[in-house]
Amino acid sequence: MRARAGLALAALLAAAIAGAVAAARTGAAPPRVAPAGPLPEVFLSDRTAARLGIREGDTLELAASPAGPWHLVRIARVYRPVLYPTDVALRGLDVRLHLPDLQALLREGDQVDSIVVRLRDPARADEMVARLNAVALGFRAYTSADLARRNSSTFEVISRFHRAISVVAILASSVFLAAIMTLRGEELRRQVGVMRLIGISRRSVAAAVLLIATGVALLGSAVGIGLGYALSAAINVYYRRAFDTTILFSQVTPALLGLVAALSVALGIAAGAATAWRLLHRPPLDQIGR
Amino acid sequence: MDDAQAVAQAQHAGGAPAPDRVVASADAVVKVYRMPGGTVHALRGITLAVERGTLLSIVGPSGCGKSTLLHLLGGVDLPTAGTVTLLGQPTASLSDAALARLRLRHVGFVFQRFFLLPMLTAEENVALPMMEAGVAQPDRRRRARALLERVGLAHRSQHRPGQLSGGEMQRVAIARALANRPALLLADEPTGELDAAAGWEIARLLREISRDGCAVVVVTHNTELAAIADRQVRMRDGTIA
Repeated sequence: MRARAGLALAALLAAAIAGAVAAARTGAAPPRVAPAGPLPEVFLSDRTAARLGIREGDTLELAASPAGPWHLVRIARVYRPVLYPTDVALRGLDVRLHLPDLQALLREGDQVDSIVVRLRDPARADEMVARLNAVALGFRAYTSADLARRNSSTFEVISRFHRAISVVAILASSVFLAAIMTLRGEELRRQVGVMRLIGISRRSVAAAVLLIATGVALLGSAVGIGLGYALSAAINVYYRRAFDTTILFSQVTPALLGLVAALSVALGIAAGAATAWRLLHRPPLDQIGR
Repeated sequence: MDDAQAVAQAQHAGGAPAPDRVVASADAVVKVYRMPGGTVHALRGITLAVERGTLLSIVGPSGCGKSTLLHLLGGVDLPTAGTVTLLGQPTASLSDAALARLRLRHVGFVFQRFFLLPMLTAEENVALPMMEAGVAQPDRRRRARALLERVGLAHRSQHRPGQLSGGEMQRVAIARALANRPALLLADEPTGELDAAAGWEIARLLREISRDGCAVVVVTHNTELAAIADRQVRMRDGTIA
């Protein structure tokens, strides 16, 4: 099978393999740039291969623009890329070329935009970056952590958005919890009245109400955590399948669980204290309906 | 007028019982409720003494002040005027917490609707006042079982109120009222929600309790229960008739 692809955007490479996102065309038209020797070899992502309906061993025509010139290449391998979260929703075509082939395709000559360097000792990344920036002219070195930070502004916005949703959810759940305790308080009203009539101290009654409120809060947070886990798993299953990736879209962390449990217990105690105060400031005879 | 009424009238008129036998007393007690719709005079100068080992029934039409008098004698409520004395202490002079302690240790309450705590078993309901009073766990468990046995419910000790009949719940409530060996047991319509047989069982039990030395005051419409009382006080419009 032969295929032709119009290259839309090229990214660059490490070691000997170049990466490119390509708009491809397939068909039987002859290449406009004939290779002098064997066909250049490229790697194709599995998504691109599936989209173009081609496989390893097939040929493909690539160009930096739809106007050409077109270069005939052979698909050496179809691979499954590790996607960055930013790439998950992209539907472009993904081709990886050897650097010389890519340079020929782009007619850029001997030029690269970026080079990724893997260190034997990643702990020395900062030192390495400092040394490179001190001696090299014409480019700037960054650690991968710096790059991640520079490129994560979108995620920070999303993260803040999620935090805002969490705050609203927590406020809503606290209102819900207060409502439950108010209802529970009404159920408890007669029992509290009886307890006070038979001489149970206010302190003991308040402790019992607080215990019940804390129990309700703990039960609620346990159910909430269970739901969170289930929803998180469902989200991951759905989006991993939808985007054909292994990226984790939703994560329930121990810190998050701690926060949820602490908040719900605090809210439960507050709601219980309010209920206890209300119940203990009514005459016991009123509470039993006399 | 029967003998019991005669006794009550005699006390009302000033015939004083032996002071060492008096558990609770009311002296010219007035209770007034100020409601949005006006003032209600629930009690209009009641004088009454309750002696240990006596079963006293209070009868009368609805709204005549029977339950109000019961609550005042038990230190649940305070009089507007006059003096209620409970175990030698005027209730009006005691703080809310002191009154609660007095009720816990010396007064037992039995209500028409039982008012057991639904999440607790029969044994736990009976043990609750003892727990508050600081009775050690083995002792309160032993006593709770003994009390349930006394009211004929040893076999139901681990059942919750929802699993018991009305008569059984009332017997558990009586066992709870006796938990801290009270000097005074106050029962407000204890047979009001029970059939005749269960009501008679409760009446018999209250009679036994008074024979054991506890002062028992029962507000009732049940003529059989009223009839077996040592004394009967008939009320009308906040006064002893």
